[in-house]
Amino acid sequence: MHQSLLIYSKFRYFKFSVLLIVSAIIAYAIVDPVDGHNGGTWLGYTLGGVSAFLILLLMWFGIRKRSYKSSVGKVEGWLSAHVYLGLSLIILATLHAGFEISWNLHTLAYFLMLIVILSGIFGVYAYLRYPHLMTENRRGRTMGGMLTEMAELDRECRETASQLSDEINRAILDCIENTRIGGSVWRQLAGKDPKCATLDAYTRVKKYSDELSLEHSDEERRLLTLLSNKLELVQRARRDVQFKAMMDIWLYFHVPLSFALLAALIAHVVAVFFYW
Amino acid sequence: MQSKVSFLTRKSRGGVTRKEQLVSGESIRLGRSTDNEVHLSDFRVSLSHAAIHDRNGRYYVEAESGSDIRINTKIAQSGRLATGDRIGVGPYDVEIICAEEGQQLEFTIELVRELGDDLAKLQSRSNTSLTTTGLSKRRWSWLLFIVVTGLFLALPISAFYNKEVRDLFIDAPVTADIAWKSGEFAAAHRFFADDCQACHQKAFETVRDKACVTCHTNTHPHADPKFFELAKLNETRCATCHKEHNGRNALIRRDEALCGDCHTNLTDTVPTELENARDFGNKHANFNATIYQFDKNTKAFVTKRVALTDNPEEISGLTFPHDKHMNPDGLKAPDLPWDKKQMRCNDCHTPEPSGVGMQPINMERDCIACHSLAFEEGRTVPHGKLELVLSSLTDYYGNKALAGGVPDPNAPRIVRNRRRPGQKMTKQERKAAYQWAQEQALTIAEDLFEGRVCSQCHTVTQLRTDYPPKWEIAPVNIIDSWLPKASFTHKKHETMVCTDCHDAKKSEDSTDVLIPDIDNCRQCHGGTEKIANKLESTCVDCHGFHIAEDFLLGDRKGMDIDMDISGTAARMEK
Repeated sequence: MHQSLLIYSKFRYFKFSVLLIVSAIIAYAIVDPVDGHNGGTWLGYTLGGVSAFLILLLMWFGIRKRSYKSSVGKVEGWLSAHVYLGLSLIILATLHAGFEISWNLHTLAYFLMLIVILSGIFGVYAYLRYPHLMTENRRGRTMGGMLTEMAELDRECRETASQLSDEINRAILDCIENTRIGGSVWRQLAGKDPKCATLDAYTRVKKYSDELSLEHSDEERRLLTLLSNKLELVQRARRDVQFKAMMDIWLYFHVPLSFALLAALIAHVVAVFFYW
Repeated sequence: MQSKVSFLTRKSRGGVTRKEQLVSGESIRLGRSTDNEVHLSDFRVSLSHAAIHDRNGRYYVEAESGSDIRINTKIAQSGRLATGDRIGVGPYDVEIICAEEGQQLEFTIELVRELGDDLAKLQSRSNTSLTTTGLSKRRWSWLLFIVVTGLFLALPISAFYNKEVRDLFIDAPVTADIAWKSGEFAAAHRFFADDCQACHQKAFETVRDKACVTCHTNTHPHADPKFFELAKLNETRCATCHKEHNGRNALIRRDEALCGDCHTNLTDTVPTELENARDFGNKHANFNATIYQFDKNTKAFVTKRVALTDNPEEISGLTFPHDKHMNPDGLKAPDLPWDKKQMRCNDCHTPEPSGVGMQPINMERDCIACHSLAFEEGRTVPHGKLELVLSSLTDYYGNKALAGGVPDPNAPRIVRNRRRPGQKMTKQERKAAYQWAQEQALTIAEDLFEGRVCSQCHTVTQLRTDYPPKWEIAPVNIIDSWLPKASFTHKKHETMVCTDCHDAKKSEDSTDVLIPDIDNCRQCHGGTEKIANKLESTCVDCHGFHIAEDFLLGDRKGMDIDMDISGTAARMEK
């Protein structure tokens, strides 16, 4: 049975993370280091060690989810742990740093971690919200199906317009040749095409038909119906692309910044002990 | 006119099918509309695209309704046809087979530019996934990883080991390892702190004391090796207590473990006169007063530490009852002849300019207003050396005798009689006068030393009675600080009244050591434990760490020290 990653195994990892956070906060409150809380106290080293281990574990998820043969836990479990342990890092790393922020490598690593976690939070939001919206929007179709449907509508438009005026034909030609779904990153995320060729064709055909006669011929009416069907389909497909893009885009921050974080973390640990 | 049209269709496997048709009309019109003589169904062709006219047996082609045609690859509106011409009508190629004058027009038509698959085109135009937009997680991951590793790991490390890399940053506003800086430097270290290697001399090693001693040569270690084996401090480095990178006010540890680690059970580990201590609030012995004692054999003062609980008696050589001076009924005072004066502490005790201690009591400044050294109306002897007192008395009475006219019935006549100016004295007269002066001086001196003045405060013993007499005044020695190992400062206790701590009103004798015991201090001062209404007081609030007297950290300069100076290095010296 499908189980949300958030409630996986009766909130097992949520509970574990809460336990981790609460113990860290209690330790932070009890321990009173002579030079104030910072990464260099025994508690600082402990929290730092745990946090570094968690970061490596969370990054290992990227490998684990690809190794289908692996039997080290279920991928769902890994994902659930990834989310909750990742969130717990906000507290653990902050306590590790003792709320110290400065213009240095150490703070860079901290903020990279925060950005990675924030992008991950958006990822969780996207995974919870968009699949549902996508299903609703697609109405049982796939992207390939929608494109095929569009091509079919194009063919019908062309046939219907064959005996209509050249202007209308040119509009149909433009519509067929220039309509595109998605496109650049921004276009995909926007879910709209400000120069939508189908909308343009619809307006043009409507205008030319009106110029000829207010009473449209059967072909013209049919053509307008076909075009509005296509327009609806095009918008739906673009929305689909938008949802998909929203579900994917955060990963383009999450993953590269994770590697930047990994580099900063390595440099941070080396730096701390290099200049002990 | 009539014309023979062949529609050619190429097969995918090769070969051409040909469909022939005879068309006739006024002219042969080509277009998408079905009423054209030649119907071209592709929607890229206009409804009426072109027409071929027969003009007196010659054939001409003309574009219709603003469409363009191509005649032998050239875009044109019209032209005469000749055999072999190729006319382009939209995606169609029209090849003239025969257009000879007077003969029947004959041409082939072939769709040379297929419309293609709409779906395939739509798919190729559309980009429905981010993976095909040129964004690459892998590429960015590598790039960021390499940039961060290079800037923040490789660069600082290479600068550490390679002077050439360091030199690249000489004029730069930052150093290669600036990003590694973990916090603000202490104000005293800021001028060299950009050079991390000034302190961090070896990779993966904590900062050693020798880095500190580069500058701090005149700092004293904790104890003198002749009293204490410094090796016992072997894990203690300068940085154990002095925490750098903690802001401009250099951070020094103040916790109880700082001293308590050793001093909690000090007596078990080293032979010492010191008592164990950990926390001022609950684990600290009562105070030992350091007092002077007079050694009669050597006739010298020696210092001795005596616990306050053992009622130490200080031999200062002075007699001074505080209680009499602080009599609540007041004292007779020269400046208040009609009243009694209530004395206050600061009538006699003046703080040092630093505010730490009190200036030594000075007779001329602090006592003389009441304790006059007058021996006659308006005449005083100096406070100080005995010989000066006696000679000043002898001088005074000698002058008086020589001047004559002294109203003393027991004095010789020459002293009693007034003399005229210029009248000379005989030798006998002079002798008599001088003898009288000596007797007077002796009488007054005896009165001063043993009677009403000196012996009030000093212990005076007469050693010789005839002239010149000789007295001995017991030496006076008041200790500068009863608690020399604690840095008490009066300045910080200005809100208090003196008698809150110094029980002077009840002190009858100058042997009393008038300092409060630890319980008195504990009324306000707690230890490191946070207690309501008590000041958190740590060891270093009163005690110093760097207290060795005849030994400096810099004394070890030049020695091949690899280990810590405050601790392990001492073992090497042994």
